[in-house]
Amino acid sequence: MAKRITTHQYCDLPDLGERLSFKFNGKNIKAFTSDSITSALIASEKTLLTRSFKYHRPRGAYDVFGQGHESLVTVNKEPNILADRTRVEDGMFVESQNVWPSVDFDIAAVNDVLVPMLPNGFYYKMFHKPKWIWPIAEHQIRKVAGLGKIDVTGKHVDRRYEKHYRFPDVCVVGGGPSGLAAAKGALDEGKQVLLIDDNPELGGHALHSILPVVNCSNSALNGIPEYKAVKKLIEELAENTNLEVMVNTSVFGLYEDNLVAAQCDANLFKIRAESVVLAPGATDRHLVFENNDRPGILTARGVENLIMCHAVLPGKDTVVVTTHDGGFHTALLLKGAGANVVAIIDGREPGSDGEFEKQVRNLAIPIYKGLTVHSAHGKKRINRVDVGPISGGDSHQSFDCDLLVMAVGFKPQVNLLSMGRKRPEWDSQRQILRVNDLPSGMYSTGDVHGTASFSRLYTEGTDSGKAAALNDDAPKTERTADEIIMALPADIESAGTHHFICKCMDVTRTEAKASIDEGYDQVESLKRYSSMGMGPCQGKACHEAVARLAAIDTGISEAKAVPTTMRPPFSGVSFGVLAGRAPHLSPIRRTPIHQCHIDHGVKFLDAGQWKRPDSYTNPQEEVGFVRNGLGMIDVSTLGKIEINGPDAVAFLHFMLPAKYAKFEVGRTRYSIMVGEDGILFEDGTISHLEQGKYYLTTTTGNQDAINALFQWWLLVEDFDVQVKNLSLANAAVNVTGAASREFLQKLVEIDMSNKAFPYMHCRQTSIADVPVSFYRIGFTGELGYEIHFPAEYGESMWRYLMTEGETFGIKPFGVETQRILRLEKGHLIPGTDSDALSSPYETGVGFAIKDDKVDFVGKAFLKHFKDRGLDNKLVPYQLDPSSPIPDDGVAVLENGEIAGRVTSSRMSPTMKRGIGLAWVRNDMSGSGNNFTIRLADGQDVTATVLDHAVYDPEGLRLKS
Amino acid sequence: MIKTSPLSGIYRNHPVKLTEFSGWQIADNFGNAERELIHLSQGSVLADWSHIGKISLSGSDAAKAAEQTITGASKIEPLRSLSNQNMAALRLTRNDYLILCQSGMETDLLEKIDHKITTVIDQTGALGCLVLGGPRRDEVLQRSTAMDLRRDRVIAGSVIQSSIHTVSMTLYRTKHFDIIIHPRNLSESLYDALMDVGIGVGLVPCGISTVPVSFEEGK
Repeated sequence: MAKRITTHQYCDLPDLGERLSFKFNGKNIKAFTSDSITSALIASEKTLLTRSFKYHRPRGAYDVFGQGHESLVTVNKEPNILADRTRVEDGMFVESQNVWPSVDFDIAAVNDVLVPMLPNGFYYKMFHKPKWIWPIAEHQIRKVAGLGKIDVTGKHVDRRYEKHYRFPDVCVVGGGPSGLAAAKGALDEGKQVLLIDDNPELGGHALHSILPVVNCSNSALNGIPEYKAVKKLIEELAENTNLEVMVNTSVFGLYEDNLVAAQCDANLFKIRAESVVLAPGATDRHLVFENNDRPGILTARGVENLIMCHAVLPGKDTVVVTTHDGGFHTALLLKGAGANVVAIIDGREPGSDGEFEKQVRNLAIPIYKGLTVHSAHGKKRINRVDVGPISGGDSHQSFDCDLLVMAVGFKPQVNLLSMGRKRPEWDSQRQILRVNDLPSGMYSTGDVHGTASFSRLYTEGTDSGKAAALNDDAPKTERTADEIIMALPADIESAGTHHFICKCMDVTRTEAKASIDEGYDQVESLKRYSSMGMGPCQGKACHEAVARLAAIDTGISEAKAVPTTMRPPFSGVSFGVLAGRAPHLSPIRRTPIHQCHIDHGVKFLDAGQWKRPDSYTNPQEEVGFVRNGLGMIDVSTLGKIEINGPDAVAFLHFMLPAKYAKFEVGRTRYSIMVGEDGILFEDGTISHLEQGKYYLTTTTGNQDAINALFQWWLLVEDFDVQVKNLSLANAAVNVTGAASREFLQKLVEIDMSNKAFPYMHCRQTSIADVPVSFYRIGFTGELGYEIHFPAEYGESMWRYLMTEGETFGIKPFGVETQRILRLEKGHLIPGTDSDALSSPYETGVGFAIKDDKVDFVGKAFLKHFKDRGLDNKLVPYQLDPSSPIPDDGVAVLENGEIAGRVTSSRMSPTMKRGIGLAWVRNDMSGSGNNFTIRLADGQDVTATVLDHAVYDPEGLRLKS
Repeated sequence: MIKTSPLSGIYRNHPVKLTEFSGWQIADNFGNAERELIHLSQGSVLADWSHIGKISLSGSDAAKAAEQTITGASKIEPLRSLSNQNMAALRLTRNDYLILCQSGMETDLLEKIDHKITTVIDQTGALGCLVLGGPRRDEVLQRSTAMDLRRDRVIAGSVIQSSIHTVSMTLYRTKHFDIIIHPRNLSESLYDALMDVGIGVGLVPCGISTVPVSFEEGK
């Protein structure tokens, strides 16, 4: 019978806080604010918390530190929450997992009888024939062998996932006595320290130890019980402003260069420390014996925690199984809390005389030496234990009890020390698995090297903290004979077949042996076949038992026992924490005119990171605005590069394939760029704004690459030029349509007439006192002017032009509209209509190359392309007015064979038929030639090659 | 014509009181100046200084050009700064400077610089500028970047070039503020990201009446 206690004979009890209540499996449970879910349930005599993974055996609290699967419950619809570490909240809904219909009566518990009758690893061997049976079997196996269920609607989760970074000088993992001392050691050296502990409170196991501190180098701690001493130490550290403490935080991974990954609730911490001190401590050793998984069997430190931190006595009639004086300490705490300690079963031979053993003897509690537990009885809670020799065999005696306390030594938490770098090794002298050599900058201290007195842990911790702060060699650890706890056999070879090695995955010694007999006789293959150590605790509870028993059962000396590789995550980490929140990872680029587009009710188009206006009404209608009136588009995303200086012309000659020696001020030209491989990768315009000052526009996607390329060549070649990337500094719009000249003439002082400002010319002037540059170009096929101006005037300029243009019927148009307009004019877009194999000659822009220059980027390959002739050609085409419109990218066929592809295809509202650009074989590219386009639905349509643009082939409109 | 901040879209979502400053329309406060002051002293604030002047100097003689803007600028080490109340010279590399100044001062500075000796670009409209202030601003940064920005390592007057929320930026640290210069076209995204992570530490947007422009590293 568990109960809440109000007084204790040997220690002070904690303040439990306010009263509250929560629901467990639909039943009301009373608790205090200081309670964990586990302590509250035990205090309410709810021993049965969950069912096991495979056999659905009843399971209850075990270590009370959240190491095993027993602690996993569903809280407020969120599965796999650690009940041991989760504080109760008023109104909380807690449910058992992996049970149906209830944890008390679980239908699947029949597995406990049925499954052992099936062959070992039956799920690998059965249900394969006939084929259709496996999906059904898999569904059923998953249904009965699983953990909690995720509510995929996610509606229950109201949580922000955050990512944080920390850069302490020293990161200490573990807040027990040695971790606290390490933090102090580093703080004393003036370092910034981050101290992390996975429990709600710092202090570790010392929080529930009444052993007085003696011989501690921190004299203020001597003479007081450890639980008071550790609190005093915490208070002392709390005053240091260089210390940051994170509790309830699990370190789940250690990576190169001292990267520590930790989770606290929905927060991911990435900690890059100069040095890391690992003080993860040790937990009670897992002993394998018959029915070692029954509810009512708890670890000694779990029981001590319940009594001293939660004022909960977890049972009335108690048997303590031990191999060291700590078991007598637990017995004393139980006695002081009012328990009936039926017996203490000490595996050691007579002759031990620890401090607590002496006290227990004075209380006339029966002590049985040289024995250990053989078997537990009772189903949903133990009611009796059998004891016998530690070598197993027949049991000698039985004791009725409702609580069995396991105090059979400690198992260091070596996982974080190992983490895939180095496997632990069995230390025969200290009787534990250890990891000795750590990478540079990483230190370890405390119980992880074997249990020791408070004063020794304090000294070693302080030394490690100082060494970490000063980047010194790691201090050596020592353990005296009286500190070493002998390890019992990993399995007490008693009768029965329910000796659980891995409680998470329900793997017994019998199954492990059967697997070894089947040939899985290496610890790694044994783990994978039997799934030992692959459950929620990831081997934290069982890795030592697995290693030792695998060694024994495969005929290896126990001294050579090696656990399987320990890798992150050390503790459970949610996908939400790893994923974080998506918007941070994909920033949006907005043009300086973005808000104006929103005001016009724009439909945006994603162009890389840019949000560009796709259209405002519909593209087909917007084409009409431009062809028949006046349109304006935001082209601020264009790259804009100014080149000036004495060598500007030489630089342009080198970088671009055209000639510029006779390029007069005020002129604008179409320009292309090729790579050193001669492949076309860019086109735009270049304008000669002032003597020696040129202005190059590039496509949106290439602006950074071209600027970087220019800068790179400037490092390689000796040109006296200045290259200024003005892509962000300038906004730009294209005002186009027959009325554009008349409209703009109203706004500027320069003469906009065709004679004074002809096609392919540029001018610098101002609009409403804002300096602007005009480029008369014809991408849309209409009379048009690109206007560039400082980006900070983006919104104002757009609004001004829209307002002033109202009488001319000006309308905004988007990128999709522009794509139709340019296609009607037959203009290509590099990257869309060309690819990484397109030569400029095949693409139809060979006119922009003047290869009789001395040298320029791509010259050698361009010569090769020219000499080789054309294999393929990019051609404009049109469809019959009744033909459906192909998708971009569909195949061009000849005689049923692929002979090219369509790169751009649209319905032309001006020509009222489908038009496009397509790559075809050169012999198919003659004007008037017909070719076949296969649509996505398999239908074929006939296209006719044009030798000119479908719209205004003479260019009369744009030159007008 | 008014010059608009890249955060003009954000302004629309707040009861912003706008003010005009050297032709710029900028937030004087975001609707509650008193609340902004409380957060500046107890929590954290995010101010928009996009209107400040920004001039980049690049090339082998950038130091000479920088000296023409502020005496002593040529002698500062890379990733350090020289400042007074009205301007700061940030030395990004041996050959690159970013000059920050009070809004409107950039015109005079551009005239002072010999454009022939180095590449001079007026980046005023090209770059946004967000300023984090308040005692809890470090907590915002710790949620925003993988950079080590500990105050004992990145001291006042330091200049950092890196990224924050994947946005490339130059960070200039003064005693009480972190000034983040970044591409204008990503300003709204960066603002959103900072405000998003700042919710937990009481980050609020504020105007230039709460955080007036000053570049002194001791401020």
